[in-house]
Amino acid sequence: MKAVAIGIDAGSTTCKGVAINSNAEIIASLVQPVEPLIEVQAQRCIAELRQRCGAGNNVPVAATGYGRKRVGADRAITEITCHARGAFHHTGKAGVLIDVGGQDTKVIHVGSRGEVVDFAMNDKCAAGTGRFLEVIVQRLGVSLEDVAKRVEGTDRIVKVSSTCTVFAESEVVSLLAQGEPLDGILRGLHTALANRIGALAGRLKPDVDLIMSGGVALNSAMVKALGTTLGRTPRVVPQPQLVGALGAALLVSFVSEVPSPSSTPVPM
Amino acid sequence: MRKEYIEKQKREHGRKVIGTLPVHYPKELFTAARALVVEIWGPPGTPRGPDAGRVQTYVCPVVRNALAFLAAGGADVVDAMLFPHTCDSIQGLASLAPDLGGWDKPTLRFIHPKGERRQSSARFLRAELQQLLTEITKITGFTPSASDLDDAIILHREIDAKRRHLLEHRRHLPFSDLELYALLRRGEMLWPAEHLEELRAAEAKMTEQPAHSEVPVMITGYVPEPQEIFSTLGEVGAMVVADDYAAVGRRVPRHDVAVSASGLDALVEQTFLQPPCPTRGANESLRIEYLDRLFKQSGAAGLIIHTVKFCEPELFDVPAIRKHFSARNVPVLSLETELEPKLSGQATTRLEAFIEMVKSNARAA
Repeated sequence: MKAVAIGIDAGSTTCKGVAINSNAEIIASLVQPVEPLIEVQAQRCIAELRQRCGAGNNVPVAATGYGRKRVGADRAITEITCHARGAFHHTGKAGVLIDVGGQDTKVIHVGSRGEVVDFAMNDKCAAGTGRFLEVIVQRLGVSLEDVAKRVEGTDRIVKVSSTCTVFAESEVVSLLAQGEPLDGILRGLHTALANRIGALAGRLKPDVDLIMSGGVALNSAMVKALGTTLGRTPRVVPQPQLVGALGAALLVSFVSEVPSPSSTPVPM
Repeated sequence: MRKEYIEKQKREHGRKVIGTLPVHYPKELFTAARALVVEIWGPPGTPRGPDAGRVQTYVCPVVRNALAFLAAGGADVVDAMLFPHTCDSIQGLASLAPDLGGWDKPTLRFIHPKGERRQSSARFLRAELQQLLTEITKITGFTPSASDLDDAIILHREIDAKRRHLLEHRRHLPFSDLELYALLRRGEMLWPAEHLEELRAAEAKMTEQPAHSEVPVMITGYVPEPQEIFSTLGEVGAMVVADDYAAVGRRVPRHDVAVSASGLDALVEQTFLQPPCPTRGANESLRIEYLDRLFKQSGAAGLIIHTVKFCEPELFDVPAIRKHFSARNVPVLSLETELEPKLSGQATTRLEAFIEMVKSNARAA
């Protein structure tokens, strides 16, 4: 089936792209580490997506993410609106979406039409974002791929009191010097991040549908830590990294106004 | 530009110039005593010197920037400096500027009573006004007569009426938000009669049919800086239709001031007719009632609460304002800035997402 729209999510750490067909299905996608010249990278991604699904230049492109205005797309839409729309495509109902991205974390109240009802977003610092984990995990010499396994393999939680990336890094160094176990510290970092996100989310109604998107949602240990903080585990939408790009594509396409849940989120 | 204007005022009109920190002070006294007042809201942007580091980083940037500015000689062209008792930080700056900033010209203070009008507060305010007038006349060397003061009061009432008219008929003005704020904020430095002329010229451009079709929002906060907020709003098709900035709309009485008293007694009565302001210890529920009325009258579709980081008087009211409007299903955005020269990417995203949300609500309605 032919592509009807392309969405590009030019984020702070990765550049994501999807092409969708008229059934709102993803028929091509890509995820790349973000490059300094986002406009060059985005154009390359668009060309690649067009080539992969045989889409002509008449297929509209929408951009989201921090680099959205530099993509040269037909529309630039914020990632808050795009994530809400993309997540709604999977759930088909109102709910609360937690999107932990590289540079910021958003808690978005999604309405029954996939619209944004309200949102909260951290700003100005990396506390409570994917970058927080990335920086400190690198400092500890642990690969991102191994983090979840190590956290889930320990019962010990070493308390990390700071969510400021800079202070937490020095706190972790002190903890290591005191002989605290590495895996316990990693788990403590997840707990600290989850608490920070929990504070942003505030008090949630018990019956609200809680979902999660963004690259950090691929870290199962983080999802569990959030579950402990919030009292229940958020459901991760399929391909959580692509939700923003999907939302952008839906919003620029003619299928955008027809909510049609295409898949069931994977239960945790 | 300010410096050239001030020097020209001194050279061509022989006027003394007095700088002032925000927010509320009796402009009429200065005009009557033939002194030009120039307001210093920081200035915004990066501190103009290293002395900002003499106060803690958790003090508001208006005060930190002002200390750096005074210490770097930025205000050397003025003859004296007024420090109204807006907050403890500005009051503290009155001591810090001479002690740490090397400010060696006269320092004036103006303490306005907090809370609602009481007999004691009216008496106190009158004494403060009298004291300030005496201090100003020492600097200008001119003692205004009773009719000089009444003329100044009438002039500033006319200015306020024009400013109110422009703010209330915002949609009929062929100006962007940036242009309107630039016009209204020129009142922070212009000789009042010149400012009045500019306001009259703007008023003459008012159109019969609305000149705007953007998404209307109301904004409340301290000072409209950084100005990129308004270019961002404009880019996404939004505009400010109701303003409660301490620097702008909150200094304009929202109705004609019918005060029969004259002289200092008139100024006392006028002070208590100003819109509620947290820097004057306004009752929280009265302020919310005022904001609610302003919001409804303007037809705004969303509210932006724009605070300057560490501005304690403003921040105290934010939870109650947010709660009130959220309970009425009004989209509310809390935006915190620090007089930075440029908005952060996150702040831009939040503003744009907020307008997308308001537009979506409007479509659904």
